[in-house]
Amino acid sequence: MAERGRSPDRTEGPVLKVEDLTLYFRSTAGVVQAVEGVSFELVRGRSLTIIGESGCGKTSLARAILRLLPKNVHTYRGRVFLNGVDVMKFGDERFRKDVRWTRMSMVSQAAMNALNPVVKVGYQVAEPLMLDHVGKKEAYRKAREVFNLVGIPEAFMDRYAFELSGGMRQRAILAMALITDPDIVILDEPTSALDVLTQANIMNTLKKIKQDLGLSFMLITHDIATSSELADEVICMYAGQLVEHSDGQRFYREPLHPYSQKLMASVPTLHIEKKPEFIPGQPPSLINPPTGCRFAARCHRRFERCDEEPPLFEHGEETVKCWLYETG
Amino acid sequence: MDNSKILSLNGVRTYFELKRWGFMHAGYVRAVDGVSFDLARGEAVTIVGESGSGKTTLLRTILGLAKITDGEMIFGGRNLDYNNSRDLTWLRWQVGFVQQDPYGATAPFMSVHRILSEPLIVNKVPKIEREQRIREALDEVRLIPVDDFLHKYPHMLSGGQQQRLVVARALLLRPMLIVADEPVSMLDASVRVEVLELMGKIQETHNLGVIYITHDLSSVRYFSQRAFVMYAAKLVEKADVNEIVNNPQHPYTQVLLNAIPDPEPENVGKFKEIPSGEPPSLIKPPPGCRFHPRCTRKIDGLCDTEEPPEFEPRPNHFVECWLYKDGDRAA
Repeated sequence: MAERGRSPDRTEGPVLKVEDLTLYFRSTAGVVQAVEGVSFELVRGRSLTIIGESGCGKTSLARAILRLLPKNVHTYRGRVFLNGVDVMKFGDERFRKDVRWTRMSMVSQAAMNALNPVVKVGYQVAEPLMLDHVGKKEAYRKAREVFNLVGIPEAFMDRYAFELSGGMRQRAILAMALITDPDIVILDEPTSALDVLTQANIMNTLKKIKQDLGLSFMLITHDIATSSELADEVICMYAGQLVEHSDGQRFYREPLHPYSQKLMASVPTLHIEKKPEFIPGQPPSLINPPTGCRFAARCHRRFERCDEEPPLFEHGEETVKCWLYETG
Repeated sequence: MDNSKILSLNGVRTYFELKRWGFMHAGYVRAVDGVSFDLARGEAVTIVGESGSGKTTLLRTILGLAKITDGEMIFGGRNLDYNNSRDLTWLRWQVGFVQQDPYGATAPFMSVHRILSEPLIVNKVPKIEREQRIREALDEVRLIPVDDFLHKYPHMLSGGQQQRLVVARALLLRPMLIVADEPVSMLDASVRVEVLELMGKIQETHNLGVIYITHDLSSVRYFSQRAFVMYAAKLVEKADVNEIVNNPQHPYTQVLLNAIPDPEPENVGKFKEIPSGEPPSLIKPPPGCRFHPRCTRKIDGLCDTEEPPEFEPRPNHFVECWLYKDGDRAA
């Protein structure tokens, strides 16, 4: 797939740049600070994994980038640049038309149940193009192409969702996300409901797609072992904040932030002899998060400075939100 | 009665009958098909398998929730008769169950105290003893101070605490055996180990048998002594955990272990070798070895016609695979 449809504004530089993205929700108990001042850049063709415990704001971050917001939003601010264009300035209608699914698409959590049970899979995959005023014939031709790409036999286009196995359904959803030739595909826990072998198979497919098409994946997961399969870069989140942004090669060997270190130590390994440890305590509530470093209460390297909120420090190529790296 | 053995299964088969139009026999789902193993007191084993391999049905059979079609199950020296309700009541008293989804397994409108009272009331434990047992169980799973937790509801607990509550409930009747169905798959990595360590400690103090059922061998690796690999309703490989991890013999075990990633930066550019195809249907399993349609090392004329018996290529390492018919030849 050499020519890649409509991409007029393709420029060098980061394909995605997020600046100080913040998303708060209203709830009966107070304001939930789900995402707090997250900034990062993603270079074209690289893939980024976002890891963290459940409830740390990973999915909210993805939704904030794609502007898929629920009704109870309290604050939504920051800037999102896609190919150098600030898409936060776009109105909802323009965002829907020009950004969501055309330039950025998403494979959501529990994607297995995201297919319509009464519509044939082939139609569902082709639908985003048909809504985009591409002719039916052309849309189906393109759908066949992406079916081959994600590894589903073309004959499956005439089947219904219940006739597909879990892995095949997941692939169909992926096909749906790829059909518009997006620059970025956000994968939210794409394999957590699947078996080990199916999971490995899908990971293989994702790597191949990344190689062949040169698009950028953003993988959101709490499964750190799986995350390493697609991690050129890693962002570690804790309590709604970005605490570390590192190169993948470095992160899995030598994480910097104390939380990342603890998190890595808690991952069980099969082939390497290492007894996993757990992190005592619980993540703080996002309604009244502690002032100062949010991880301080559970941190093994806490000192006086931690009562104050640390900024993001540069440490070589990496950024870390921890006072330990103040001197650089 | 052999005191060291608390559970032995001999050729256990659990079939579910399929009916057409509500009455015509249309075959069986062979969910558990000839499973044998022994479990000693104080021993923890892990049964690893993909979904649809029959591991949950095996667990339900052990719990007395699904009827054995053929074979025998001896528990605590009793050969259980699945048609005798007294046998079943006794069995369920003696086996504690830790469910996969703790929130789904506890009633949201019941307080912790009520949730823990229920099994004691049903089993007619006198009231004075109940309070004491509830406190002991909560203390044991480290839901302390106990008084703070007694009047909470499940939604007020974190995921790890909910799972510990379910463990406490499984312990209340002082069972000999605990079966845990994916006990940590719903939890975050950072608390998984906490729950597993707790279960390991409880197992030691009470000298319990524990059966873990999981698809993720790496998380329970340090908390069990033996591991059984299940594929298409059969236990295809049985050995010590370390032996399975370091010297997997069955081709299926080899690909399965190969597919489990460790958090390593090298994974990024590497493609894994995964067998094509999917596990077979349990209604009409393939003849011969059930893995042969996907196996890269199948022997034509043998693997596709005859079912492999159990071989022992290494001491205490049992494999159902024709590759080992001449002892430890294959590697």
